Amino acid sequence: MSSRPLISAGVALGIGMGGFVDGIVFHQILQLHNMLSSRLPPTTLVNVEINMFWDGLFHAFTWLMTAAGLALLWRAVRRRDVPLSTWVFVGSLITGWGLFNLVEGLIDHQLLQIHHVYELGNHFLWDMLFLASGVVLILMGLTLIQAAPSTVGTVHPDS
Amino acid sequence: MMDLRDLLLLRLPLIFACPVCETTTGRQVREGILNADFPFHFAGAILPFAVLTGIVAAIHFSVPQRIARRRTPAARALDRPGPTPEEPTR
Repeated sequence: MSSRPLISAGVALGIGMGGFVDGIVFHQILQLHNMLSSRLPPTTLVNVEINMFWDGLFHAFTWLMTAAGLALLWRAVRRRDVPLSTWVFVGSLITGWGLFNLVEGLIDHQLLQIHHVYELGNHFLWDMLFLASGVVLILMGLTLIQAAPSTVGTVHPDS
Repeated sequence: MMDLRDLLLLRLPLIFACPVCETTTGRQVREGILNADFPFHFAGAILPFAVLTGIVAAIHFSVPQRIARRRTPAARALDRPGPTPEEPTR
């Protein structure tokens, strides 16, 4: 019995869903930042359009990650040696979301500095909060995975 | 002011402000994307996902075995066979 396939599927889906939260909530609804908003502030139509292109590419990669997660999940649920634990799956989803916040925050906000969570004012504080949310989510997810009783929810749909 | 006839005939300049449109704004957008900074901007878009894909691959092929071995006492207690009638069969 191995939980690995379910964990990797959940993490991939969590990364994808975390990316969509970022893109939909921060880029589109709240419009706190865009993909290149530190380098090309969206203050003109041309800059808005350029940012829109890169936001679209970001969403395309997010979609691919979600699709990969679905494929991994499909493979996992078809295997009889993979326990289908809700705790493990939800924990993996949360871990994936946290990983997205941590990795994207480190690379795009800190390393490349192509955008920050909140472009106006003190962006450092917002960036740190974003990274901290990633760490907290990862710890929450791992705790759920480790606390999962291995015999709970392991009934395979075929049985 | 938006005119319905302009909208139907796709004559509004703003509608043509896209990377593939042959307008002044469209050309500026295209030049703003396909320039010397393209590799850097592309790296910014793809690099996090490349790293995350590597993490998912690492989890899929090895890492979680160590996580699974580090189980909490509560989880181990639930693993022990108890007086319940029978466990579900696969």
